[in-house]
Amino acid sequence: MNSLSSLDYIQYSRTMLLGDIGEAGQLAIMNSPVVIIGVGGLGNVVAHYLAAAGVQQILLIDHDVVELSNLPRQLLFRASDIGQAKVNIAKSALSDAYPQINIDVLAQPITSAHFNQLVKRFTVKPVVFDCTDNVSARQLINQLCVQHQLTLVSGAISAYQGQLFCIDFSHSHSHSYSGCYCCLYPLDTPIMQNCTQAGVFGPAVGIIASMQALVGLQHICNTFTKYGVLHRFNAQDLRWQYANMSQDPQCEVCHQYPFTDHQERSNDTN
Amino acid sequence: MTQTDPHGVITLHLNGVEQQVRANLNLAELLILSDLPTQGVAIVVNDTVVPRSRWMHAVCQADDNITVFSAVAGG
Repeated sequence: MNSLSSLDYIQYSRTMLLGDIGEAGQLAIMNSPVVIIGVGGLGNVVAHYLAAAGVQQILLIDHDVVELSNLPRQLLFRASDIGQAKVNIAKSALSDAYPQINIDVLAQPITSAHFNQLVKRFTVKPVVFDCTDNVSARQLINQLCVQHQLTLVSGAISAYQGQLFCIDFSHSHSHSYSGCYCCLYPLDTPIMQNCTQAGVFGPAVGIIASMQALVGLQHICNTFTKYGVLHRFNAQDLRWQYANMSQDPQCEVCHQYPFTDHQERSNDTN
Repeated sequence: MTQTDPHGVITLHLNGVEQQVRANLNLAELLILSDLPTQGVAIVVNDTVVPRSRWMHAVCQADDNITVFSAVAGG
């Protein structure tokens, strides 16, 4: 897409009014494919905001079905959707609201084979949003983003603690400083906290997801500057804290880069 | 100004609380002495993450601001 229609100018006028976005930024948004892995609490909001912003090519990956306990925070789903594949319901809801966009779905757990095949379909490198709910999927997604030199926008939340970062693996000088998810949490990191065990408030999930969408859009518009910064949000006292990520000289993914079967253990995706 | 005292003790902040610890203590030892988990956590020292492989080698300094937090993976 090289130009905007007159309807596009009206629909996206508020975005384009931002001085550093403008028409060029909106066109970048509309020409940038995205992959959203995990269509749970985070993925619902990320997908909704990106679709609303004008992203035209979205790939949703999740193998779960809608459950009653999802409804307080997974706002694309309704009670009548229970038992149906999340990706199909999300696609239907977003397509109704934004009929011009192209949404592909994969209702299976993410694997490197799936991902490698799907990424080849894109003529432009997609931005990857990690919205999953388990560490093995997160490690695999990180590894795939490093391998394919993609931009990873990672969000996570459990109970009152949210975490978020963005790393652009297409710029080696960038991640040689910040490392990757595996530098932050090595492969054998036991992560006991997830929403199933620790609970979560729906709006707190929405905050982290909104930040993911915001960061992703800024990256697409070439206005993002906080690569390799870990943002932590405490949803109890509403405090944000920041830290510069750093590369682990012994990292098995971004430094030494061996691929092992261990990293293929992908189960739940949201 | 906080410095190493004659007894080899330094003052630092751990999760926002002032602590006195022996000089030459590394981050791995700090976790154990502070009864903090050594697994499933990350450590930030003065606004920069210290990778786990460096914990044994990173020696606490006077006035360090150290934050230990749990990994989260929910979505």
